[in-house]
Amino acid sequence: MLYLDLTDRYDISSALPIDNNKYNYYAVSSSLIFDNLVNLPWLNFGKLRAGYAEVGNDLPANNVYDTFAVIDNFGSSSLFSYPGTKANSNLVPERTKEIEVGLETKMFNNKLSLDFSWYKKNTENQLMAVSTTTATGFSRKWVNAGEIQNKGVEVGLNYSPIRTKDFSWDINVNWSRNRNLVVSLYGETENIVLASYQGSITINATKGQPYGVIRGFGFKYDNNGNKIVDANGYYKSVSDQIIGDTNPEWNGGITNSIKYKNLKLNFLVDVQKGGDVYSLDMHYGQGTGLTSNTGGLNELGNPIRNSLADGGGVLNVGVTEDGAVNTTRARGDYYGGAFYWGNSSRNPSAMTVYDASYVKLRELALAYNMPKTLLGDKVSSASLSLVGRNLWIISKNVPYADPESGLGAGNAQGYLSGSYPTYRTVGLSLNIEF
Amino acid sequence: MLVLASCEVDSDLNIDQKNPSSVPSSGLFANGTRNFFDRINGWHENRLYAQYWAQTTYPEASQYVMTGLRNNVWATIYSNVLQDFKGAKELIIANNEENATNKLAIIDMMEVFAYSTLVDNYGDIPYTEALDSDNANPKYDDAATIYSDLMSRLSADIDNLDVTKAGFGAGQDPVYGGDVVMWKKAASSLLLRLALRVADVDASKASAMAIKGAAGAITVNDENFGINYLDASPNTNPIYADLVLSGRNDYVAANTLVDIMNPLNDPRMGHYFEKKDGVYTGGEYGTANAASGFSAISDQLKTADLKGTVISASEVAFLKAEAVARGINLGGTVSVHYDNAITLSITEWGGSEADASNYLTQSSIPYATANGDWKEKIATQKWIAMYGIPFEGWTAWRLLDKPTLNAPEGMSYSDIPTRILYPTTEAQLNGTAYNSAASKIGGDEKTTKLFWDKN
Repeated sequence: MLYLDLTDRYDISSALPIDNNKYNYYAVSSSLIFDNLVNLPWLNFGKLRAGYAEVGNDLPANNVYDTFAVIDNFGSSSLFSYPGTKANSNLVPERTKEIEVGLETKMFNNKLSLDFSWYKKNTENQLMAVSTTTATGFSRKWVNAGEIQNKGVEVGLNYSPIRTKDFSWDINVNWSRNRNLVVSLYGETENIVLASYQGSITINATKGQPYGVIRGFGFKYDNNGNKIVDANGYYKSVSDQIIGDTNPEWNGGITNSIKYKNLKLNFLVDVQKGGDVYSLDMHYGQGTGLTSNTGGLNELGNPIRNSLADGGGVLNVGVTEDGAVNTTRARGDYYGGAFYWGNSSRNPSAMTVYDASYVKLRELALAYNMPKTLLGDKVSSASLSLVGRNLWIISKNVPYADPESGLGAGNAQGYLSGSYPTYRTVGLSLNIEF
Repeated sequence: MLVLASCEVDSDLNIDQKNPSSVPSSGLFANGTRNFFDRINGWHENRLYAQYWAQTTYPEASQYVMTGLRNNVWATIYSNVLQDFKGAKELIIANNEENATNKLAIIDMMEVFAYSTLVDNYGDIPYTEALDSDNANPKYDDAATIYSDLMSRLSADIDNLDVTKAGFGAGQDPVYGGDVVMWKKAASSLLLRLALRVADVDASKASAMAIKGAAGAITVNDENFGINYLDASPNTNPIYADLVLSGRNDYVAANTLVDIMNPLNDPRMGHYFEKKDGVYTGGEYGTANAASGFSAISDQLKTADLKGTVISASEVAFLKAEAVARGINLGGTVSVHYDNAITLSITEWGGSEADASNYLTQSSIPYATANGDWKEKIATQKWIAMYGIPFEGWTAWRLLDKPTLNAPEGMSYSDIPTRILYPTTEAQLNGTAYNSAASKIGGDEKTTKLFWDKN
């Protein structure tokens, strides 16, 4: 059987410039249910689908016409100023074009099912308030800023190895991988700062790079990829380097549901592989000597916090400017030393960039369905369940903090500042239906 | 399925109703002016680079880490000062305002001041293509060419200022209360300053402009070009905001200034600093000093409504002394201008004429008997006098190479900056133009010498 869906929608937005305020959304999708056509005994269900959609997107209000900022009076002088962001009356709607193909199957008496999809999504004329050099008179300007591409694969797999009257076990695995790329930007611009943070850190859209790279002071490397250490034993730094990519390589999760008679146990393990975060907490934590790595013993067995004369300090792994292996210990006995938060000449911000990978026990739930025999006539069903969320970070590489505890709003991924521990919640619920 | 809905689209819906769509030109002028004076008075890094102050717990800025300053000078002057001036000019012309010629000349003079400050900090900067919001990648112009244009503009502004007519209204002029005579003096003083900046690279222009500027410049402290700060936040002197209201103890006197002033029995010492255990003592420049171990910044400087002066009568007199020493014939002798400059500085800070004449009786002070050549004599005394205009203190050292400053621990004398770095964001936002400017000026380094820094 072949299905075809067509939809269209037409919007007029008061937030866009009057001459360019109309846009439509449309989508075409088709699917083919093919299990009857191929006649394979083990195949219970099979569907192929393909779709194409274009989606228009709007602008937040009040960004087309310039207004002025009112500043507190200076004595008798009333003060007005241009705002930091330039409005733009030549904007057009943003447009996203997406193509997707997918396959859904159920096999072996519905014991195994697989859902696979591949997509490619290009967002053009993206509406953004981009950073501009303030030599233009403004620090930001609303523009239609080029093209961003997202491409990815999503896979879902369900398997039920055991299914008997009293006992069943279901496994659900999902896995996804997204690759994005900044195809083009605004004008000649090679880089757009999406957000800038303390510690000279910016999150950026850089042409030819994934959307959301972290830039800041990077290590200085020699031709063989060794980090270069200065005459006092500190890592040298270089301005404006790409020091991380906030995008993960892939995400996945496994849910197991085990049911025995009236008892049901459910647990979900979530995995993220890759992606980087910058930690301002480590930047200041190390700088002020709060973190444990700033104390303890060095490779000579002496306290790091001893003076260099007393054999203290830290031996940074790297080479000197002329290529010799570094043998100069960096000071560990004051804040301006090996763990100092750094500047444009030494101790680069890349020192506190970490891999954001994690494995987490995201959810564990135990439920008991009361047997009908225990319930009177008036109660149709009742269940008691104990649910825990974020119970255990099984593995991670970010010290002291949950890699997911970033400022994560919109574009602002990949920056940890003042991280709180993630809530661990445990709930008990009783459900009774009459 | 078909759904139809509709409503009227009115452009007013998309205009921010909480903020004005049109404002008076004088409000933009006053705001740009105030921002400019605020920053000139509030960039305490200049007090460090001149080595008037030293730092306490966090000595990075005094070790010439420019993280904040390099971005802030650029961003403030372009977007918070020059953009407002540009808008004010456009409104005056569009509305054909009364006294337009005087208002435009005053704004133009302020623009010249702001652009020259950018050049004096960085070197080449966007000028001809700056402040165009449709051009995201303005090119950088040659610093010497910009300077030449700025002096021509300023010279024309002085000619255009008509003292028989009004300027901005008294209430909208936070500097001179609408007095065009005073604006003309300030513009002349600025022209004298700019002329002497280029004395080593364009002697004939320097001479002509210095003579023109000196003829109409500020002569007494009452005329000093400064904003009259108020005693309540947020309109206090930035020193008060940063040293008093902040509750921080980031600065002490620097040994460089204290060690030079102490043997001279300088009557300004008590106006600049507080005594520590009965003496004036400076923290070691470029290190982390104990806040309680050295002379504190004076209470006089920490006054909320302390006038924020950016050109003083004393500076003008030093510029005249320098001009005459260079052979520019603007009248008077080096010695008279030099002694006058010192006297004006002492009285500006609250000393008496008698204090000044006592000071000048010491053989180490008067021009005739002080140590060194003309450059050393003028630079040393000008540097001491520019305590309230620290950018000019640092610049006196850059131009005249005296007095001898202290290299922070681990650095050598040649590491002391002669400019500030371009903003970190320029490489990302305007990379092509930035890279060509950086290579043209001889590298985006702290020790690259500016075009006027020749001898």
